[in-house]
Amino acid sequence: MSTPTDLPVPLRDPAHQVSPRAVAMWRTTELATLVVETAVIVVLYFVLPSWPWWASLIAGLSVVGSVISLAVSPGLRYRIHRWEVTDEAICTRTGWFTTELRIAPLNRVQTVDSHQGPVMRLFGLAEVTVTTASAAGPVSIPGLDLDVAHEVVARLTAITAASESDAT
Amino acid sequence: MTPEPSWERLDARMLLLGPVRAIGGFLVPAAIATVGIGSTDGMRGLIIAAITLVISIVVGVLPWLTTTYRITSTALVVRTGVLKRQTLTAPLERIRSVDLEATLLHRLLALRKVQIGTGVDDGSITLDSLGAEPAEALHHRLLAMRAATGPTRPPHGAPGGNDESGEPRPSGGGGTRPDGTQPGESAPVDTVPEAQPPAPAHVLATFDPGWARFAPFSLLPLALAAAAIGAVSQLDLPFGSTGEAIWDWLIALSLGALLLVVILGGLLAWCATTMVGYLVQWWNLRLVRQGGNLRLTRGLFTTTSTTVEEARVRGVEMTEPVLLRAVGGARLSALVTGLEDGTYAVLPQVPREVAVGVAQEILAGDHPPERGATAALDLDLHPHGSSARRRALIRGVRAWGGLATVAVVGLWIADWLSPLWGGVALVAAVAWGLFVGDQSYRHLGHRLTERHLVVGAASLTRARSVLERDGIIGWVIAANWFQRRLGLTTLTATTAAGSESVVLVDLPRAEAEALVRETTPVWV
Repeated sequence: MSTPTDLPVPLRDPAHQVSPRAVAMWRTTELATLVVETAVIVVLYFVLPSWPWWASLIAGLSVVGSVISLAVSPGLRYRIHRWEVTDEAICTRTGWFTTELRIAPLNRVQTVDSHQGPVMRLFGLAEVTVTTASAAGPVSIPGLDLDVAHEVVARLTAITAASESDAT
Repeated sequence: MTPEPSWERLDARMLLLGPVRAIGGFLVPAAIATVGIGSTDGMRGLIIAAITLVISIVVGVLPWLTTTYRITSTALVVRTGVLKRQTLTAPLERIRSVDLEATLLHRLLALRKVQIGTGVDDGSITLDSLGAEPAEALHHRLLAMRAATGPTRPPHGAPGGNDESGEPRPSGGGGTRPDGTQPGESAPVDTVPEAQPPAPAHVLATFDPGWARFAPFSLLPLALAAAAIGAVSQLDLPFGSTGEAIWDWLIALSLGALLLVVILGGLLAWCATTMVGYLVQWWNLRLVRQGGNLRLTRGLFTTTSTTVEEARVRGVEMTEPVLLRAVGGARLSALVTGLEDGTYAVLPQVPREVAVGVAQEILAGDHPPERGATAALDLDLHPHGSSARRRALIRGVRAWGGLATVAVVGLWIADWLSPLWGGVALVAAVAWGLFVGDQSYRHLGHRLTERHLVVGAASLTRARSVLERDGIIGWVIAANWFQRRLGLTTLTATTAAGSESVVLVDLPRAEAEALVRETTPVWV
């Protein structure tokens, strides 16, 4: 048997988008990064005895990079990020420069966590992470509405509790 | 229920281990003390020595007095400790490995150190030491009982179930592993007879001293670099003085000879040390399949015996580094779940055919070997196409050319390098980068067989992983901006074995999706 290459039908995209409030959350995070970065550069500028031209170049490039990321990435992320839980699998699509489609069969799931960081709390969001026996295989859905997150966790727990294999 | 078995002790001969080790460890400091301190303080040195010896004897005796173990119907229980009494309980079905080790000292006393592993996080239980025969018996007994109680997943069950239907399963080998045992259901342990004879062993590989010829080809570049550095440092002599041309010439000549001697001597020393090291480590290697386990024994002075359950083996990986490949050698490891680092070195540097053959046997498991079929490691792989090749070349040039540019610019700024030689170095680096890129593309590829996914890594070293379809526990299809423009993806099959993932670089998106769809039809 060989790899069939004549399958034109692409894999289905996951059905659901994350909460629209996730855009504001990502923007806040990006803004915080930019502020911290600028502060570090300013401090270095005054502390360092000399400030060669290439230091300005590096500082300038990194600030410009962060500004672009702030402007572009939250919207792009919102458009790209998708998730879905079926009876057999969990599938997510994340990222903006590098996009990742992650698929984990539910009978291989080992843990189901939900997590709420300080910024997420600010926007009433949560992140659900599903791990398998492989360190390379965790699947997370960031930016879920808190209620939706609870629902997803409950559903995943119910499904995975029913499977009996040792999931390796 | 049978009455609880009695507690057993370590072998009394282990009492000799501690003091002998202590004496050995204390001879050197004692000698130093006697010589260094001199006659005036000699007495004090002796007293210190005597105290050390007494302490070491006590330290050696305590484990024997305090450590006891027994096997109940469900668990191995070890009691240990002096002030803090500890009881370690390892449920039999969670015992994953029983390893025996014997240093030269152990072997003189016919002792074996037994290490019982119960999983990645729990660490292991060590019994240091039992007699050779009781240790061997314990090994067989624990593994046999595990096989009887353990919730073992059905081995090698491809989800499709369309494999070898109607073909008779061989009765030997995996016979002690019942496929029908339900998880959580406790098998009738009491019916497992203690004196059950060990299952027949099927030998997969035995040592050939001739294999040592491959030993020097492992880190040869390192040795060459070291020799070259040594030689260059020798050149740092003042032979720029004018006038005495002949003298200089003579020095240069003798330097050349010296250089030659250094390099040849270095090479010889390298070959000798690596070959001796190889023989010491791998002497008497024997890989057998026995009662659903793979057992590897080896060692010239210190002998070790390690065991992994075949049901935990998810595949194999064969690596052929450039030099080893040039002389037709390869290394083989098994990808195993529940091991600390996930890979289990099965064969050291051996002839490639041997590695391929053993890999085939391991992969076949208790499936009947397919006659006339190409070994999984010898299959032709599907290439990933011209865009993937271009990306491989770019990676090579970017890595090596980038490195060379930084080095050349640095040296040029420091005025240690003429632009001409800098240019030559850059061209050479780019050429090397192209070569590396081309090689890594040639090694890149994949193939899906009935039961396995075969993947060639994109690297200068030829590395092939063969992963059971059933061992794949998830997928990541990643693509950065550049890859998206070319319609390529990096497909990662995640697994609990080996390095936790097998990566297919720069696979056309449609092929990646077809592969995912066919292997794990949970997402379509």
